[in-house]
Amino acid sequence: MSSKKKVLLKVIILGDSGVGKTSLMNQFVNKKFSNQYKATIGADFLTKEVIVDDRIVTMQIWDTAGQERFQSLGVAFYRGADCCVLVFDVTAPNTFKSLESWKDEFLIQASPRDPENFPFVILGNKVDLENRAVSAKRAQQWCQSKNDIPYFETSAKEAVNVELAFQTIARNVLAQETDAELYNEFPDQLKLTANDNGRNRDGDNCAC
Amino acid sequence: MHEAYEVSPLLTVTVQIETIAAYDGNLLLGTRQGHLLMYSLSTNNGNQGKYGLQLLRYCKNFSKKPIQQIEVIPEKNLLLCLSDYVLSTYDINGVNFPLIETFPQTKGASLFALDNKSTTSMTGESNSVVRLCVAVRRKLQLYYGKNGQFKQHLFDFSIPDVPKVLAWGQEYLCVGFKAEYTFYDLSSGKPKELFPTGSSKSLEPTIAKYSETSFLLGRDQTSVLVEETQDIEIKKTIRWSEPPISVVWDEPFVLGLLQDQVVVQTVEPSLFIQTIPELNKARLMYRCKRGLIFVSSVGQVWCLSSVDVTKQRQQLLKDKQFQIAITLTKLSECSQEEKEHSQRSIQKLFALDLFDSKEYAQSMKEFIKLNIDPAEVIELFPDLDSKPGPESSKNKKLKGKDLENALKALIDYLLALRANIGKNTSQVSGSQEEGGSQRNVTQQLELIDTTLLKCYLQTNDAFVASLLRLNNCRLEEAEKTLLQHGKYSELIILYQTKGQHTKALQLLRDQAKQPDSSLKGYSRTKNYMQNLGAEHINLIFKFSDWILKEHPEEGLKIFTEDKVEVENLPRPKILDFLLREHETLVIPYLEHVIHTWNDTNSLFHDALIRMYREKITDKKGAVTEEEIQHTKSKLLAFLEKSVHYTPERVILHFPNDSLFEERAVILGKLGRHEQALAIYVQILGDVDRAVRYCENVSENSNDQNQDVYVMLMKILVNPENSNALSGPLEKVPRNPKTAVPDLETALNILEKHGDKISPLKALSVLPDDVPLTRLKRFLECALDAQLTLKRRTQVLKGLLSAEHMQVQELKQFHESKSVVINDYNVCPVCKKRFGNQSAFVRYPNGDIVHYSCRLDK
Repeated sequence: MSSKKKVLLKVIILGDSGVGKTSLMNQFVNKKFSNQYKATIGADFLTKEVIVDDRIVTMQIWDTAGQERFQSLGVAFYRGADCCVLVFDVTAPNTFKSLESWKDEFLIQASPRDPENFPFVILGNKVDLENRAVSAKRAQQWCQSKNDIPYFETSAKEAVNVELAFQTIARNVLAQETDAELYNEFPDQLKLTANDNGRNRDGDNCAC
Repeated sequence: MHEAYEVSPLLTVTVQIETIAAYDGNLLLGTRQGHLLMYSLSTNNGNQGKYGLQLLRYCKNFSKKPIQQIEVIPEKNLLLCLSDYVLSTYDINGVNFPLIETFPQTKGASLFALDNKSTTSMTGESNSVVRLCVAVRRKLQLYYGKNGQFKQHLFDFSIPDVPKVLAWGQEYLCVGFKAEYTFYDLSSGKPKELFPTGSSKSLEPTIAKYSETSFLLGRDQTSVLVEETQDIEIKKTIRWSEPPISVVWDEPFVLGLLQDQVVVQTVEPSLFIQTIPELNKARLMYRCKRGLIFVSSVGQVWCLSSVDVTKQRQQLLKDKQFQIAITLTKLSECSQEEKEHSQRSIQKLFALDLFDSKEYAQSMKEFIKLNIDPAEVIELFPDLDSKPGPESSKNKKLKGKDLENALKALIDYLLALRANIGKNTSQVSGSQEEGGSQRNVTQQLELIDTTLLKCYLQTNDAFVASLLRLNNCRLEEAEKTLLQHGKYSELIILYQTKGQHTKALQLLRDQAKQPDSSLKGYSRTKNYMQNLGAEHINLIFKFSDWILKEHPEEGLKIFTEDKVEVENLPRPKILDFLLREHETLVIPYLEHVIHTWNDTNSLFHDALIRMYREKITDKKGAVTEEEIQHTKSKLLAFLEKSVHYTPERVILHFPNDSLFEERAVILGKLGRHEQALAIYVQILGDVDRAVRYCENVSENSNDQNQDVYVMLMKILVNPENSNALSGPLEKVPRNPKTAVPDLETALNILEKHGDKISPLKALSVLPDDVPLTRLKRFLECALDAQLTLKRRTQVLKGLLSAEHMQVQELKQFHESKSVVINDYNVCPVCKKRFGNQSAFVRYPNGDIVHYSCRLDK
């Protein structure tokens, strides 16, 4: 793997309805914010290229509907995700509480190879609002208890920490990936050649 | 061996058969001699095959020349016949097939192709659209037929050679020449050359229509499946043992006429099905309808009819040819319901077979398509099946790698089901059966998740915790399985989500002592209880006991952690509990409640004071002197700082023989300054402290406190007569230092704080024998103060009377103004004159209005 290889990262944003998933994505990709609330239906993605160290990374960010938990989207959709961003609203304690079940549901559906070390990021959104109900300390504590998930306090409206959070996501996933690749390189190669042999034998009775 | 078709020899004739055609149950033969024979097919009870023929008509002088090709359009009762190189149409029902029309422009024709499509119009009429292509030498003539009339297209297509075979596609005409195939675009006539009929030598071309847009074209010993899409595309090739004479597609089989035999194959997947031998010198093949094909040689006719679908299916299932069985069932003529039923059962067999042959992933995909009860799938895994029925020999246990792969496939299957269930529930809403279906869904989810749990325990137990937290598993089964695998940590999660807190806490307590358990120690129990919340407070009391005993400091965090659940626990109850069972922890607990959570409930403040006091006075334990001093300073600081305790109640329990300083603070809070001061001076002998006390009080003073200095002086000057320390403190030994009257100090105070002391009261306290000179400074001060006050008041009086004069003068000035009102004055608001008695208002600018109009202006 060359260090300048172009990479595509699939990032999935999850969280209760109305916490600002779409706004965060829009702020990051388009630098735009609207106060109007429009419920997302199904799932949609935007892409953005970021540069991490000397690599160009294309982030494919999937925004999902928070209303129906995972229901309209199949297992296939979650498979192959490189990172999962869990968002809650710092003014709504319930959205913080449901982080755990979002995380669990994601793990079950996505079935990553190493669920214990799958990269998650938690975003506490809407810090610009005054009626805050979940303290940074409590959120931080929870993230620490969950295998030290990175935590960011963001505001999609004021563009606070949005760029930084997504940069960190890209960086963490890349770090994770290099580990995984190093670990898997050798056995994978063996497997491939074995498969190829088998296919060639089948191909002998090709009609042409 | 699978038998798709059975052969019935139909007839041997002496004439030379040149061409055959068939429609409905009728067979037409055209001969070299120009005869036309028409037969009808009938079921035969004899041994000689299933069918027999009955001669309907025999037209001996149909044509003078050999009949080259015939086709029938049954809807229009039309017979098309190519004879003597001219195309003609005949009425098929008339006696001796009367001629309708001859197309003179087709003179020289060698071949034609018919395309008959019946469409149903919007009014329900069925219309047949006929397209006809006639090859006349090196030209293709196109006709469009409607209502039995044929109209010729304006253009003919020029082609390089005389075609051998022709077939209609959708947008192309497929033409086979002597050595190659070409597609002609119907709209432009442009050719698209495909490939030669043979790689080495040229062969007779064969075309079989595979669908509306695809053809099977013979090439060497194969038939190539070609599809006309955007572009023309080669999809697949089918192999024969020799170049076929003719090929026919009879879904799902392709039949190739070879030397003296017909070979039956399938296209996808390509499988050899059957050989029908002993068709001596057969050279023509014509498909009448599905499952009925006529084959003829020069003098003989056979019929190939498809074997009954049920019978075929049995054989196919035995051979495990599920795909063909499904296709056949789809095409069969039985009712929709029956079709679906048998199709499902075949699919199920297929899926099971895939499972048996270890194609687990494939098998699970089939199961998903089938949408069958997941319980049936789970039954394939005896290890996972929950029903403890008789050890079924039907499903053998899987082992090793197979088991692993199978479980992986099963997990995928279950996850897909899960997603489906979610999808369905989000769609079903407001229907009446919602209650029922909801229950059903929960049951399904339970089954799926419980099974998933078992799978994960065997494959990747890192998912177990997440799965359990989603809380769909069946408690008993999950509990049993987790215990089997020794997953205590996960078992706790199960209990937690299911609300089985007692069980969880018991398990935690038992496991805490196991040296090699994953739940060793107290921290899991602590965390668990921190999440329980107020409604389980009694449970928390019950199970926190052992931790509080063994790890008091950490254990106390059960009640003091910075968590919402913990903060909302009922504090009075906790206090009560701690007082009863763990008294040593009361002080740290209360300190946390008061200092960290800023609780203002006087209950806790009082209790904390009591606890401090008891700690100091009850010296029963081995409390060091240092600790007592520390507690004392905390008590004193707290008494001074806190505003939420009730001094009346607190003071009652304070001892009469110690803690005087603390008592003084409380007395101060109660406003009993005299007593407080008496304690400082007479008992503690600490005059400085008493002075500081006075300063404090007068700083946050209202008037009545000004007397504190006088009180202090009185105590100092006249210790014996002071009756402040009556009651319980009567007997306390007085400090000898202040037992004698201390006039000096009293006078010093008087001098220093003279401005805050009322001179009259001060003088009344001082004994008469104080020399006047000693009081000189105070008196001067007091006199000065009085004088200042007097002068100040005089100045104020002067200023006020001056102001009064000014106001008087202003009043007179205003009163001296006058207005004249006569008949010419009009109110600017209502435009009326002022009557005799009307009250009016004059504005500063001189306007005069009626009194009642003043608001309207």
